[in-house]
Amino acid sequence: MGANLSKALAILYKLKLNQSVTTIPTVGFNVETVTYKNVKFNVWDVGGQDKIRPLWRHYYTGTQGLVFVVDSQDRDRIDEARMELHRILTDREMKDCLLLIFANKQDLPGAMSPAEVTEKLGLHRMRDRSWYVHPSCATTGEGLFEGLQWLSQNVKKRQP
Amino acid sequence: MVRQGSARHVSFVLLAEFDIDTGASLARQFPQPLGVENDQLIAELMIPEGVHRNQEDWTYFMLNQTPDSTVEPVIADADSITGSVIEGSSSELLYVLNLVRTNRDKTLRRGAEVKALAICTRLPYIQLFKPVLWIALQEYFNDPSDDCITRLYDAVNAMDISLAPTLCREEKLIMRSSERKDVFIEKFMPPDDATVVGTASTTDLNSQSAMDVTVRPRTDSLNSLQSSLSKGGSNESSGGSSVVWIGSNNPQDSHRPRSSLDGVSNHHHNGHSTNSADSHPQLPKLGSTLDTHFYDTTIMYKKMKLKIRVPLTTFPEEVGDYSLIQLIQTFSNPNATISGPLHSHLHTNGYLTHPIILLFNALVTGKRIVFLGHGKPASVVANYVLAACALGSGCGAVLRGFTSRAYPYTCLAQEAALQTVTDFIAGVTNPIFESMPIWDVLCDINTGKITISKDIRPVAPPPSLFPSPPPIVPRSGTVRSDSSGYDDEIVPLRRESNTGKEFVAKSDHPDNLFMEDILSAISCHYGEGLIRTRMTEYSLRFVRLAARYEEEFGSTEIGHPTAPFEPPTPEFPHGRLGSGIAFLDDVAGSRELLANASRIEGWRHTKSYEHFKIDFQTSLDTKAIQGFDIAHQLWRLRHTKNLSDAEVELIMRTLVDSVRSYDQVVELLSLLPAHAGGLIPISFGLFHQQETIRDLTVDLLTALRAYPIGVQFLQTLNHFHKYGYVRQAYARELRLGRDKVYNGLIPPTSTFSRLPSNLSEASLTA
Repeated sequence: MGANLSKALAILYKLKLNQSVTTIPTVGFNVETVTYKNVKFNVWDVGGQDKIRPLWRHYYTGTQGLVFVVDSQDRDRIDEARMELHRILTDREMKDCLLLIFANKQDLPGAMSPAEVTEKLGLHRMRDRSWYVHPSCATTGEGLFEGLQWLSQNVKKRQP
Repeated sequence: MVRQGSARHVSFVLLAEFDIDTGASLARQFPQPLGVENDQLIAELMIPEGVHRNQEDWTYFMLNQTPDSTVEPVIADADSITGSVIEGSSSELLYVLNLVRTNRDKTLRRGAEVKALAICTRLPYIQLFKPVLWIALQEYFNDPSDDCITRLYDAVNAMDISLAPTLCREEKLIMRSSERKDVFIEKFMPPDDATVVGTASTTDLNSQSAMDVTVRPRTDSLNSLQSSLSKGGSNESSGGSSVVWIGSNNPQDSHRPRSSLDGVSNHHHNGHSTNSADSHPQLPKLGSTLDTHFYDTTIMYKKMKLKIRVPLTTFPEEVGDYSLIQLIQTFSNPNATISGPLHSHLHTNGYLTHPIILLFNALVTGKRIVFLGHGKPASVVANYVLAACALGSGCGAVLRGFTSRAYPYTCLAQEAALQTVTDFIAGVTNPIFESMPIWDVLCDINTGKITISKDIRPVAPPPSLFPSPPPIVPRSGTVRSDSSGYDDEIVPLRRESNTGKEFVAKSDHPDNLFMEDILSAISCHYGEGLIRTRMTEYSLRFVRLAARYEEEFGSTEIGHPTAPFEPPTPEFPHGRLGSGIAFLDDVAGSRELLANASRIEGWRHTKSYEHFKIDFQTSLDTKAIQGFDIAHQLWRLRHTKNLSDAEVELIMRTLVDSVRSYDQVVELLSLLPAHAGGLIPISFGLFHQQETIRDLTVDLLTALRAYPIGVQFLQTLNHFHKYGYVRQAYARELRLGRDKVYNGLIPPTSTFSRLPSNLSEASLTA
């Protein structure tokens, strides 16, 4: 799930098919199953337009992990991203969900560092939540699997 | 229904676009804004979720359904005001046909643009507009202008269907169950010739003969019969050919009555229509392509002439070109399973309930039904929803109120609206709906799996009908005289009872046998038409059973009271006809009632039940054949063994007395479809041991023969029956001393026995 949809989609396909795809606009949603280290992820990629954000709540039930993709280069919209992230996480259904943040577009000049993204998103104030920020580059796939690694370990940890 | 004259076919044309930053939006509305509360919803429905996976997709949805989709044009011009007066109240459903296309273009941001074009119409056969919509959207991509929208609106509204025949309900039923391409061909005549048609009460000798020439090239029957009899007598071949009423005496032309299962499909109708076309060149429209099931017209779009075939048999509840066969096959495949708790409205045969019957039950008892097709185009899921509407409504011929709660394609944006309605039939492509607690029954069209929600509202079992009731529930002993409001008392079924003895499953349950019959008809490649007719009959039997069920608790307003035939008494010298649903025997009757009790109880609390009650009462006043339950009589003739002579005689006499006018003939024939043997139940009376009954049968068949449609039915009789009829009709006329009328021009009528001298207006209009 991400404000910048195209990269979310690219990440999804990178994980699923290990290939870069042209990312024509997603209408509504994409859902794919990704298996990583014996953990099967049902990954939902949902459209990011303002108008349909209220519909995101339908996807919360049973969600174990939220993958939030941040455009590290877009300093203007990082504030908006923070507000959206907090809005999602305050939903009752998302109380226990893991939070993985890709600080994306690390390959571009002037990108915010993961530490800076962490700071700007106000993650340090989240005390009761497991979160993880990882640098990534969706076009090359760099960093994606490390992020999933964290997610799968933590999902496993919770299962009895 | 074909709307004539000035009413606009299409009320609105809409255009929606998808923007990567702002999402879907309604970009253009013509001729004026819809004025709906929620524009955004319309845009979301026009650009379906997942459309980026398909290059192009069709969606269907309805307007005027929920408060936020109700149309109130803000700028009402003079035309639309008069238009809405003609076309009915603003709350009438508007069907929307929408085409969405993703145009890939590397030069654009994100490499593609998505646009959708839709038309809103009151005509149920929206599929007709697909070609023009397709071209117009193509056009719009090249030239995104208001002109393009206006051109579409004008082109579609200029379509001329003013000459299309309008058929009444019974005529539609006849046409639907007939494969003949010339059924009701007389309705296609130019207006001056057509005056004789449908107004047979004023038919005079001359116009009738004119019709003989133009419409049915029959070599006049009795005349030729006489000659053939005189030269050959009982000679089979000459007798056989002369008693065929049509000019081409090819025995193969006659349609053999057949049951749905006789396995031999009838391919003769092509040859037939060609024959009849060749034999009367006066009708310019006749040709090998003519099929009276359709009215051919055109839409002119720019310089293109698009051929349009308007189906004439569509009922208002039948939207789009749905396929019942597809629906039945998907949910009958060997992998199709039903999971979830048993529910008394749904599992009318326990765990052996056929999935299609379960779906029917869910439809008639007003459950919240979702068809899910993850990864499927929206057009596919929409077709399942529209087919389900037909399944529930008896293909539009029995019940109504299904399309008004259908959401053929819907998405998360409409979820809030769905929460506010009590029942719906919705099609979705988003698998998240599977985990949302808004449905009672989920039908996955990818797997054929039907899931009953574990949270489905349990209902009390129906009041016990018989002294030894099977339902094992604490209150099973209470027989209620008034069962209305029963649904309000929610008696949560214990989990044990959900799997308990309450649900009896029998492999020879009539519904299972019925579905086996349907499936083998499908596998024998019987067409959609026959399947629709059979499902219509299934619904009809269901409502008749419901009427009988209500009588257990008093009286019914949805059917004729149940009564057996009363033998003659001094008070009623001929006896009294029976009425209501009939059973083979009492045991079978109570078993069938018991098996249906739960879903009937469920249906009785739905809107479609309320509609039906009104429709039935209206039909009592408006039906052409008045005063008795005709379906009951035909059932008796078809199914009863050892029918008493007195009853047969009374049935025949009543039919002869009541079936004279065109409308009456049509009503009788609509109950005698070809797949159920056509006229056979009646024509057996030709060979009854009692002469009176034979004579009455001749009179009845002769009454049918006064109208082209009756002639077509008589043609389907087998040769033995046909010959039996002609021989006796001839003998009867001889006996009545009417040799002088054998000039072949006078149509015999049922009344000639009483009015030997001439045909009088009075007797025919009676």
